[in-house]
Amino acid sequence: MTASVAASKNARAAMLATLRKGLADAPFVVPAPPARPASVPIGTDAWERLAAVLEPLGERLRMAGNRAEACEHVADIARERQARTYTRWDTALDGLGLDEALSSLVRVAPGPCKDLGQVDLGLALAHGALVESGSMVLVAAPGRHRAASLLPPASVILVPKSALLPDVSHMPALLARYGEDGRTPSCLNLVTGPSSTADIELVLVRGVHGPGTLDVIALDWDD
Amino acid sequence: MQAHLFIPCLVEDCHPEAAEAVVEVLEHLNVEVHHPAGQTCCGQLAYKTGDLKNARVLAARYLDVFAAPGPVVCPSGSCVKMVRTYPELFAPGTDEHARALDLAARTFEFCEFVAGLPGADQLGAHLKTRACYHGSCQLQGQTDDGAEAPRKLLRGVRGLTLVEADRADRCCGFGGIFSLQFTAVSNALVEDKCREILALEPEILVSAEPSCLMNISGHLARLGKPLPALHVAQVLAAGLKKETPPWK
Amino acid sequence: MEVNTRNFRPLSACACRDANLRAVLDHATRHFQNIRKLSMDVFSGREDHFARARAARFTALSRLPDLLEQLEENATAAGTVVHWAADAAEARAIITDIAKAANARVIVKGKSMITEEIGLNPALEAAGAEVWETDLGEFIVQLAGEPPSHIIAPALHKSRQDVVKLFAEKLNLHGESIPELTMLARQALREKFLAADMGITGANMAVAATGSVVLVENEGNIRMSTTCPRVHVALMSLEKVVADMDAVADILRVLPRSTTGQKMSSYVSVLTGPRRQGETDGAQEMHLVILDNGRSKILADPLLRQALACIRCGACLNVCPVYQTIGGHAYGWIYPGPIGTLLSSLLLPHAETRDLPFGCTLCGACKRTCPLSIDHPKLMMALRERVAAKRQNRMGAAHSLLARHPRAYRMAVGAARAVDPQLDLLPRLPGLPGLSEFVDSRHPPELKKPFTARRAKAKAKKERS
Repeated sequence: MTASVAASKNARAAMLATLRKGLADAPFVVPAPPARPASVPIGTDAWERLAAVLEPLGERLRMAGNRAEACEHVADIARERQARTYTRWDTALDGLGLDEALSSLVRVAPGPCKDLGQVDLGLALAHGALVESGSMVLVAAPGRHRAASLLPPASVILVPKSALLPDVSHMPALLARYGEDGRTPSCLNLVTGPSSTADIELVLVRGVHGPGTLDVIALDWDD
Repeated sequence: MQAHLFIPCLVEDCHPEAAEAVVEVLEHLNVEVHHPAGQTCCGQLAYKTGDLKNARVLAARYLDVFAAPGPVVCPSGSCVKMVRTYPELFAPGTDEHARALDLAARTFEFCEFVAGLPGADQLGAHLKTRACYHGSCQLQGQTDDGAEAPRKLLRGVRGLTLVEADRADRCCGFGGIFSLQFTAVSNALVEDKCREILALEPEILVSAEPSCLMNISGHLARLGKPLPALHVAQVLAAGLKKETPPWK
Repeated sequence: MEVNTRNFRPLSACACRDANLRAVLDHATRHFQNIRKLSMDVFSGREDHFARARAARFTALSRLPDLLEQLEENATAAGTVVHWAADAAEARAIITDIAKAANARVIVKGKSMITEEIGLNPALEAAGAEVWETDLGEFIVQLAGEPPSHIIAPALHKSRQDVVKLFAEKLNLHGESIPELTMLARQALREKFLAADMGITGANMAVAATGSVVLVENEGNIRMSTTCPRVHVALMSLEKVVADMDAVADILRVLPRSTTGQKMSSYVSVLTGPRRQGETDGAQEMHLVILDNGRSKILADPLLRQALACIRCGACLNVCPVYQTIGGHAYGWIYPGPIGTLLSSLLLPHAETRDLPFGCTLCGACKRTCPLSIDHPKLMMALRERVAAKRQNRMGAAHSLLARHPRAYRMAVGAARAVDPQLDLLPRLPGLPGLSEFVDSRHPPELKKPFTARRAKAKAKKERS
């Protein structure tokens, strides 16, 4: 056993012993808190409510009633952002026909971050969309790379209707549901707006390390 | 109804007019006022310097001074807060702890007490002046209405133009021993407070906290911009008398 | 970071004289208060959400050792290597060993107060690594060679002009406007993210039930630091653990709103172990270092331990009249404002922090603002008691003696009034610390005919008539 592993073991024992003694000397019970205020349920106006929350974050919500409309929106965004290259989640987004819509762009497959450093546009599919805060829930897995919603300066997130959820109190269930083989996924991201900072004189700037623009496409059909 | 006067040390010797006004207002509202002898200091000074031993001794004294049953009324939120802290100074189960709980439950800040009396909203006070209100931080968070009672009473005075700064409830920077150990910061805070008050061009400064009044008016005087600094009780009492108040 | 808390009084006096700093603090604290208020005013069910966040944190404290063991078990099962560090030196050694073993030449860091607390950067640099702070505010203060001045906005004290000069001098990059400067930082740091061997972060929360680390940010630098480099090290102080993801959700409902008035921060990452087979990004090696550094013994104190519940929203700083006036650096260590005074007093040697609890007016604005209702003033008083127990206070003892004897008290006051009713002379006597400065800026109150005497006279007059 190396010196540092031994030190870690000793530290562990000492820390836990001190904590246990402290609680034994002065135990406390925390009273149960009030019930969580009821979530606002997902109703027929969910997309409107989501759009309203996204707007001040600088995000535009585009409605798509079918695959063709979704692809049109994607093509529009690629043009608006002057994108020449893109990366996307694979199997999750395979059935939409996105590659045709983006045929004039070069597609870069999921890979090491170094290879994705110059990509213009990234597309991902939301596992959840939390209406209260406008937060997109993205769970990583093979073919669902984290970089897709992080490295390119322009980000697009497609939201299936079934992904609509009231608020963050629904996030734990998603984490539990989307693990492979019952294991917790390696990474769950909540994405709420483009990357931003106000560290210089409290002036808001978007697109500091993560994407500067985030467009959301509502896949408004039942599947 | 009877009430016992709890007169803070600062008021007894430096602002006795405020205590006199307290008596006038209470008697106007048919409260029979008693003034227990032997009052010196409630122990706040000792307590805030961390000297719990002496704070406890002085608190025990005051349990005796205010032993007679009935409400205790005090024109200082910070002193009332101290009395409400008395139970923490004594071990639960002791006689003193029980008496401290009893005293704490029946001790009230002046505005809080008056605002709850019948006839308080029809005092019939009339005073034509422009008054700037400073909200003592010591009144906030104690009870739900603590910070509102002084404002409520002042708004009931006809002819009174009541103004307050955006940050009316921001600490004036006194904090007792704080002003002696962190004088530069204390000065900065009282400067902010005075600037905000003067910008409203009041004729008088009014507050429910004597130490704030002393702190702010003391600095205004050094700035060469003195203002009469009055306790809420004095404004009410003057309004009841319907004669030109002594500070005009 | 060097501990300079013993100079709190002179540092605070100095800060009062810095007109630029005063202006920046006034602007920033008002701004944070405004945006927070806007959000809180429309936060339906706010008090219940606060109570739930409080319960999540306090429950965790009440079960701390069990939760830490559970965290270790589940993190390990997910592939994270868990280390325990008793103090700053051990934590530094662990992390530098990891860096050496990983042959880490370039290291990127997310904003982490705990890494400042253990003085990590110099240790890594001494071991031959290049360390880059990637949070824009931290990046700026790193270039300037200064410590951060605010929990939430580390470079609050730096103007745009300061940053223009800094980028030109240190990076040879030229920009004028704030968006331009931000883009320059993005470019410069993107190179580092892509070249980095290791990313180091703190942890906003660690989740016992899943073995996860939760990281909250707006810029994306933490996602970059945990997605691109091969190794990720998360350093957490032991009280950051919570029971499960429901507790995380309850805290996330409150934390961003209390910090910056946002319903949710731009990015929340829930990381559980290194990347899985078939994933192409995320760390391949993940480490979690659990640090004590003085916290475990605090759990035994029924009053003081609530300071460990803090979720680091910074709201207490922005409403504190003292912080609003002097800013972060005057507090002399990592943690400023009301919570900073408490943490420094609990974690550092007592002799270094004696003045901190007295630098407070006890106005209670902190307690009223804190979403978890941490009772800062009460803890401040307990710390004062601790200091007073070791000090002699002759003035206080004299005052208390007089106050116990009303006749002597009245005689003393009467004598003062006879000799110096305007209090021109008495406050200026030597041996009365602070009084002289006090009367420099305040005209002292007058010693008048006492209320008791006036009342007695009025009563006598009434009886005669």
